[in-house]
Amino acid sequence: MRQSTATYILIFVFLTAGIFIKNPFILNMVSLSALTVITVLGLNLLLGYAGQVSLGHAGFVAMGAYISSILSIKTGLNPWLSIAIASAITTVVAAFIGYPTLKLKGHYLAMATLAIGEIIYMLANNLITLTGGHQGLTGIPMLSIGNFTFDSEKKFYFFSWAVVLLFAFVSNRIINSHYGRALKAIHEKEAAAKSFGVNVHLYKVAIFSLSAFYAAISGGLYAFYIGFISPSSFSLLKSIDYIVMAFVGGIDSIFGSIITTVILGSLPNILTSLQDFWPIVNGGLLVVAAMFMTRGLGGLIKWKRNTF
Amino acid sequence: MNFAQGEFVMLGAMLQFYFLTLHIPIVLSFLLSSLIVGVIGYFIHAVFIRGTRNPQELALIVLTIGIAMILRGTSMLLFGKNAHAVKQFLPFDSITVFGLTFSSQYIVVFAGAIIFATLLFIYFNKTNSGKVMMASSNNPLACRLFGIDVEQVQAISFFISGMLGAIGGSIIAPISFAKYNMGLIMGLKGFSASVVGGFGNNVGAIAGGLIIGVSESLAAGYISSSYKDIVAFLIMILVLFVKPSGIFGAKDIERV
Amino acid sequence: MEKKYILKIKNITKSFGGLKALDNISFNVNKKQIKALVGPNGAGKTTLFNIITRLYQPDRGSIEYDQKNLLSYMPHQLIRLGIARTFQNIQLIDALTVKENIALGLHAKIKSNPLSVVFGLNRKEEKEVFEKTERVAHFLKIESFLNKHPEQVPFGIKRLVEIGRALISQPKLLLLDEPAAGLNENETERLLNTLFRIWERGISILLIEHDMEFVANCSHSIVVMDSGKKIAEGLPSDVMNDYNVIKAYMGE
Repeated sequence: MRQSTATYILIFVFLTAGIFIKNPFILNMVSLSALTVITVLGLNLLLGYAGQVSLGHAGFVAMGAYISSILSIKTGLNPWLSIAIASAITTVVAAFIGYPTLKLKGHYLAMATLAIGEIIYMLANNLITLTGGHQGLTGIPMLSIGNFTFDSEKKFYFFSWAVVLLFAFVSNRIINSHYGRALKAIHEKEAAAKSFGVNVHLYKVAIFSLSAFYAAISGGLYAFYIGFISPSSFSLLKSIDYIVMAFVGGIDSIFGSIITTVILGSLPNILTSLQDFWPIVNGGLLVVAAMFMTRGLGGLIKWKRNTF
Repeated sequence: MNFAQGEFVMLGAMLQFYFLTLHIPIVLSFLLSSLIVGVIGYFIHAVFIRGTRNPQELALIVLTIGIAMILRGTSMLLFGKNAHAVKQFLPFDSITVFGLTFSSQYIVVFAGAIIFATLLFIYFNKTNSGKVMMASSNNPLACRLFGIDVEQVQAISFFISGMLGAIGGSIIAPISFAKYNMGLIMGLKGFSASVVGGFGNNVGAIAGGLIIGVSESLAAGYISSSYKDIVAFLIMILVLFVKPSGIFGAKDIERV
Repeated sequence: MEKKYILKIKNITKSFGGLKALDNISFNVNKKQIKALVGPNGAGKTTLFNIITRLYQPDRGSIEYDQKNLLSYMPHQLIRLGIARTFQNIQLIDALTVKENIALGLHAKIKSNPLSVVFGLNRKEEKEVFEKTERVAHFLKIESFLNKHPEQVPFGIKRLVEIGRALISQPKLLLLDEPAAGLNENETERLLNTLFRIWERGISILLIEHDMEFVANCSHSIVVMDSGKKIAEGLPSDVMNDYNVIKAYMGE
């Protein structure tokens, strides 16, 4: 089977499951996982296709969440428009960070994004008049289309997985185009790729900005779904969670990432008593994946390739 | 590049705190904690870095992030989530210079920085093993051709960086406290200093550290102490933009 | 007046640290010419290639290509100018099939933008790209390997795939870095034949080679380099007899 087909089937399974799940706790948990999937899909593009690590994706999620919420609360702007503006700003900021750092060796981007993530985290904590500080921001309106408001777990469940479908579709289209081929060339043979006519630096900056865009959209939707945001949802540990999900799921595997994200996103909510062990589990997963299966779970499956 | 470096600092501070609670003399606990973390560094290299099947840059970055998480999580389980106060090295609490009162530990930090920077400088510039380490990091392939066991050199460099991290951690602990999550910020600060000063340049690293430290203090004094870290990171990002090789760095760290 | 040459290399000098890799190198590649660059290891041949393809910046000198100052271009812009190259250490992408690897050479000429890709408007163009790929594969007689991955094809075929990736962009100047290295007798024969068929299509070729015999068989003109210097240039028969060349090769 082609990986893209398997991915769409998987998403449709989640969508149909929504019809039968009654328990709001589970619906909520899997909806939140869906939002996380969007961020992880973006991170996948960066890891798997530009070969770079971002330690600050929680910061981009935070930018999406905070900017859109503040716009919507303080100026009364339409939530959808707020999310669009917040995501655009986040994308530009990412391009700004990526431009100098992506000319350098791999760990520069990791460190620069770590710094950005921390800066955004500290701003969220300290710009109290705008962000509410560590107590957070409340009164974020709900999303609605016309008279239809996403006011129940069930409604948002379908909506969130529909968004996953949209972003998985976009990722698939890019990966399976000439851009995907060029990105794979950059990942494997960067210097030679230039001589194939690939503008390596431009593509790296573009893919990094795109991945920040995914994260910002995810953050914006999160804010308007929960109605409340506080800095603790966007800490460095979240950025590392995203890396674990993307890397263990398979850096170039959308299918593997979705499964891993839903599992790793849900487990801490189910096994709450094991909370203190979670950093060790996450770290252990990263170590095992980095040492023994760099293609991740998705790499264990032999996919049929796209042919023309 | 080792993302667990900051955790070595944290471990140094934590072990210093732990040994002091066992009433071990301060000099001995300092030596013990730096030695133990040095050995941990050596083992991390031997077990994980060497054991990696696919030593690509991306995998190594992710691997050291994973190791950092494990060290951090383990430390949290063993020593708890609280910040621990650590006794200062000198037998008196504070000193007064020109009417300003400092914690006496600042003398130790200052002296320690000078001593270890000098030692490092001598090691890398005057000793054979130091020169080999420099060369192995710059051009591993050429060194292999000359019959140098690059893996062994790397293992030693992990030992040294573990030890140095721990030394820094135990010296700074009386000022900053010891907390399980101090590692990544410490690592990032260290990275900022070396970016600002210029990577692989010891004089630059010290200058970078001073620039970062002074601007943090200025930010804390003139704006607010909650913004001091932001200033440090903004300076790093600014330097990456204007002169990615750092203020004192040679050019040509870009890939060809 | 129409110029005779397509590439004019003038006074190119490049040092790495204290080592002079290239010392005042000058020569031309004429239109529809097969020019060979020979010399022992470390003579600076690949460094010169990397400068022509803009991966390195020279310390001094100029390169004129098709009446343009080549040094003002970035590496990824060269395909559009009509310059394509292969590599001494084969640079095929393992994650892609042979077909996709060849198609990569056309990347700079694909017009579809990100939006048209997302909306699926690039299908027609993609189809054309892969039709071209098949034509190139047919020309090189490697059709049967198209859907395989690089690790599944013999070494000699890999070299041809690299040439295919360079050819698909329809270059005016083709740079080949040691195309015959590591090939057996049959494969070398096949390569020679392919080179002539490429040349027949009016493409100028600059190639680096180690093997004097191969060079004597295929090129119109030879530049001999040693330790970063040009020590001889001329017809194969003349250069072969040149004392300096023999000396460089014998290592005396």
